[in-house]
Amino acid sequence: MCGTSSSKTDQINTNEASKISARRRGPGSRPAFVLIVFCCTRVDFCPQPFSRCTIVNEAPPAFQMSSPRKLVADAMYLDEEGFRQCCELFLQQSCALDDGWCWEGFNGSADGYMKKTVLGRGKINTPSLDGSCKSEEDVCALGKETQEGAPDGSEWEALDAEWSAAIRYEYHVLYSSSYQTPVLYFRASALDGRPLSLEEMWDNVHPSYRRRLLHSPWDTITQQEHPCLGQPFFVLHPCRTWDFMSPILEAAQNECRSQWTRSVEGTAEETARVLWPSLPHTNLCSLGAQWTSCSSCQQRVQLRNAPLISSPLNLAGCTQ
Amino acid sequence: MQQAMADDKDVLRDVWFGRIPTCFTLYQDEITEREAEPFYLLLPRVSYLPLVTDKVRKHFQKVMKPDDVGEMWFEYEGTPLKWHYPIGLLFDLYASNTTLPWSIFVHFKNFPQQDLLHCPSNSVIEAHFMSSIKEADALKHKGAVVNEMQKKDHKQLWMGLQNDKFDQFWAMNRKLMEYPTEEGGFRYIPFRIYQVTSNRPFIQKLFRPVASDGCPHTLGDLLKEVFPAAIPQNDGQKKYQVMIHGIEPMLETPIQWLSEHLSYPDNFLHISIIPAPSD
Repeated sequence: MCGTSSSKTDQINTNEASKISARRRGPGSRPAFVLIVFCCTRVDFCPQPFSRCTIVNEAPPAFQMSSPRKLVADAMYLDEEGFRQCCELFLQQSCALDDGWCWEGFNGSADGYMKKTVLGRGKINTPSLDGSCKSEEDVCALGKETQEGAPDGSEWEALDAEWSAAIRYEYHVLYSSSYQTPVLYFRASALDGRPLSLEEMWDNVHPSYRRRLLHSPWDTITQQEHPCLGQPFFVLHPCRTWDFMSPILEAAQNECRSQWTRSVEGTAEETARVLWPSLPHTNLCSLGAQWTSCSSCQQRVQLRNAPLISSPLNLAGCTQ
Repeated sequence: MQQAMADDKDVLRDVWFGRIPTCFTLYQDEITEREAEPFYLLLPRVSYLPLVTDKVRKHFQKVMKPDDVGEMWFEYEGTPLKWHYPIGLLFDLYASNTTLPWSIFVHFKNFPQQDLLHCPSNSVIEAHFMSSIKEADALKHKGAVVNEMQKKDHKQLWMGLQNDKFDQFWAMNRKLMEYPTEEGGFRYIPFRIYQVTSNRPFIQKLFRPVASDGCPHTLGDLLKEVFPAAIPQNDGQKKYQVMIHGIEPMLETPIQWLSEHLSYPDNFLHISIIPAPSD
């Protein structure tokens, strides 16, 4: 969340800055993950978390109207051109690995977004007759249910069985000029083409993260209009990206310090299934395979702020 | 000066209390047990359809079997109306030069999932509204004002809109409209430009209220940069109308003033560009 762990943030900012400058120096510096890094750290530059409406602000920082620009330096933001450059490099990498990301341009203009479609596993409810969604009360009830803690072992098995429906996911990474950050848009449909509802999307968030999500569901994943297509998409709000990605980041950090164990593997896998239901877990990490097949941990430490590469597939490579 | 400020406050009131006379008709394919009479309503321009159409639903539900009543949605001349756009924007964009009342079809089945967001409860509208306010403030003040507010302040903005309370809303909203005097305006102007004929829903770019030489940017400057075709050519031929709240502001109007006075409650300036009537 924005505003937390400032020392880590600073560190990441520094890494990030060095990566950008590396990118400008030339293609040899492997900057393809800058984009992902941005996805995960930009939110720290949002002066305050999006979710603040759900939190009572106990000691509001004095906002000085006379110098709002000094709060955050403009230079800290990713501009549209920078976003496009990052995408370009990301796509080169994706192309080299045959990973399936592509660029969708907007006729005639330089505007566009990165896109990937993938089949995954998930949970689908039987659609109600009128196609309507659960009421607000249902959502609250769901919140209570998850407050009782994480499921135990037997529940996991049951969950595994439940998570067996085939779902077609479509992921778009867009640039938001308002927040000056990349934003993840996605939609999901059953194989018969029926789009998944917001509630089904929430359901597909891994149980470990549900409590976090349901604490303020409307601030995390909501249905919004795709700014280029005008169609309904789900959006992971930019200021929540950090929240949801930080466990993966932490796993990446820990991984170099400790032996890789089965339990850690489990954690990382859960983490990867969080929100990026099944896709980036298997695919983005394979995209990162080039980076993670490194022989020394030292090298990996430099890459640790590219959280998506920390999934089991890559981490396994580290133990060699 | 004081007079000018008083007039400006009148502008805010006029915008807030703008109403569109509307006739709701049940779509012919809907199954009813007896004939459904049309329903007439004055719609507040600054509000959202699902927030002000409870009476419409109740009216039509009276003649329908509960099983036939799905999620309500609206259509105008074949276009499903996006509830997450303010009503005034929908009218300006699709129905500007038509006769009143605005004639809208009401549907209870075949929800167009590909075009419309679901709206199962008012909390969805609230979330959308607050998210717009936050996005606008990210542009205006890097989010500093909205984040300084407490939860109850956010609620006040929402309740003001929901209950149509001008004073309640503006007591809080004025904070979102402040800016440092020496800067001459917001950091960026939160605006969106809509056009029916485009397959892109809207255009949104970063645009500063003041030029680098210190001159205030005008509506014309904004259009010149973002949508030059909307500016009348030298031959005086006007191809497009540029509408905000049902009026065509002069292109010389400073964009900062427009942002402060003609923004919708979501703090965005929603500008419709529509083909000029040919007569």
